[in-house]
Amino acid sequence: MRRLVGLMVEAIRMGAARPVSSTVTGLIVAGVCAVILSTTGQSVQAERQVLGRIDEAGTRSVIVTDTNGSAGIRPGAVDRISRLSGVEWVVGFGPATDVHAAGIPGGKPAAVRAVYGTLPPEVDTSGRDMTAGTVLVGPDAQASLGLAVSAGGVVAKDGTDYAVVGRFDAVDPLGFLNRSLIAAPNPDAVDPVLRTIHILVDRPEDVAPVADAIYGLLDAEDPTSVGIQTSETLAEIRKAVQGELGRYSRRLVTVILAVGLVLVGLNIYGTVSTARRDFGRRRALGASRADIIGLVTTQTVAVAAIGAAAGTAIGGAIIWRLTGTPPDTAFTAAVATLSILAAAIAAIPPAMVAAWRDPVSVLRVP
Amino acid sequence: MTVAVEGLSFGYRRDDTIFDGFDATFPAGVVSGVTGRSGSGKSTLLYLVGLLLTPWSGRIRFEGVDVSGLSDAARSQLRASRVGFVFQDAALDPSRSVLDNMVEGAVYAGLGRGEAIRRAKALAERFEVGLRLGHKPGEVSGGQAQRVALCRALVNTPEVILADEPTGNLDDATAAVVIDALVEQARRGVTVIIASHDHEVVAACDEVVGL
Repeated sequence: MRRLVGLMVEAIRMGAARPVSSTVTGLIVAGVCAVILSTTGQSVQAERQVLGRIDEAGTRSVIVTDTNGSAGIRPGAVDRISRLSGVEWVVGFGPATDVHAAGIPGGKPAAVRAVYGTLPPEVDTSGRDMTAGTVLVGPDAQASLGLAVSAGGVVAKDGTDYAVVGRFDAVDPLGFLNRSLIAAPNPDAVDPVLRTIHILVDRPEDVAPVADAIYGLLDAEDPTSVGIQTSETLAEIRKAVQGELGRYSRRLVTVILAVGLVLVGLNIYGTVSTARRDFGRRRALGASRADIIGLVTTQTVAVAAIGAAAGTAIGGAIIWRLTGTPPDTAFTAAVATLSILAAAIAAIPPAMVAAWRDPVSVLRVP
Repeated sequence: MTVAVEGLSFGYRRDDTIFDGFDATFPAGVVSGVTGRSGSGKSTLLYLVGLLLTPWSGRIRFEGVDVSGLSDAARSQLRASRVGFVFQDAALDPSRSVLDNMVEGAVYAGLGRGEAIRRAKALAERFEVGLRLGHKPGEVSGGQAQRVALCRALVNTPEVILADEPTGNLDDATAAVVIDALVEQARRGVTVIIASHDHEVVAACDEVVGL
């Protein structure tokens, strides 16, 4: 163990004693990291953004609809679906009922829907909690109804009235709710039914299996009236985008790493070629061939680690400047690790040349 | 430690044999000189005994044990822990300090750096290069550099010292210091083998092997 530690320290001292070679190696590795991060790093950022937008568009959503109002989907389906593996959240909505703002003539109608299940984070509510007979109003519905503030009352055609106790803002895939009001289920309602159920799954690939499983859980009175919309097409597009960008990024990273590997290898080879007496002396002092390989490789890895740290800092700064967001941590760590690994691999052939060179021929004085 | 070579055959090229069935014994506690004309194989014999070269045939025995067929790692370990080399031109690393040069061999022998530095400083005082420990080899004289090389060879307390023309580049006074140091090591029981064509060096040896 002490010998191993001694050899590692010796390798670092060896690197420090050759500042030009070490600096060149460090600069090459720093350049590799910076170039990868500032090129492929941007591609990765772009991929994340494109995929994010596709995901926003609903690649992970499944919508169950009672197509003609006679399917007879009961609220219990929401709880059953929420227990499925891969389901992030599920929320059901009752039939829409038109309401007008009470006491505001000329206002347009908006729809009230009863909510079954817990509102997901995509619906941001403010004001009081919904209870029976109260509603939250969406921003578009508030404008349609002519409500100056999210308070007051709304009345349905059948005379049922609701107190507006707050508002909400919904984003996709529930953005459509902004045009309506949402209400807590009426506890006195007899045999309530759902008109739609919205489900968000964890991953796009969960869409198909969850959609298949839903049919059995709905327990609808008329299954032929149930329609299920999935986003499998979007999921396919997502997969294609991810694959295409991934392929491009991998190709670019491979090329940059290969160029860096060759440059580091040439630099190390040049160094060991001009330090033949140094390695001959080390062999005479008791260094084995494995020790020589270890010394050269460890020295390169130590210098490459410093270069990788500098390179990722520079590349990260470039990305931040260009995109306004910091580079992905996992991607940055992977780039640094790959660069150091490439430098270590590049050092092995010249290290072997140094280790197998005849020490006597360089030690003898003519 | 007695070093013996038996039936040694070796050459750098197949058509140029330097040793053909060569035998010699180098007892412990004795300064053995190896002498001969240029190209006779003086240095080559040292490198064979120091396990830097592998003979075509024959045996190299350390204390009766054949070590010529060992693996590179085992030979290197033996060299690091039991053999000390002194070269004609000192062969110091010009980019490292005198002290770093002295303790370099300790790394391969697995000796702790602290202990190696303690030994190196004691040796440096003894060979009067103690004030030069922080200097680079290029900042010391040839005689001082050779004494530094001697200190480096002694840091691991070797049982065998192989000196290849150790006084070749030195003035008479410094050469005497180096030879006295090697003789002193032999008196302590170390096997000292000196390859030299210098008559004064050969005269200081207890035994001489002619090539």
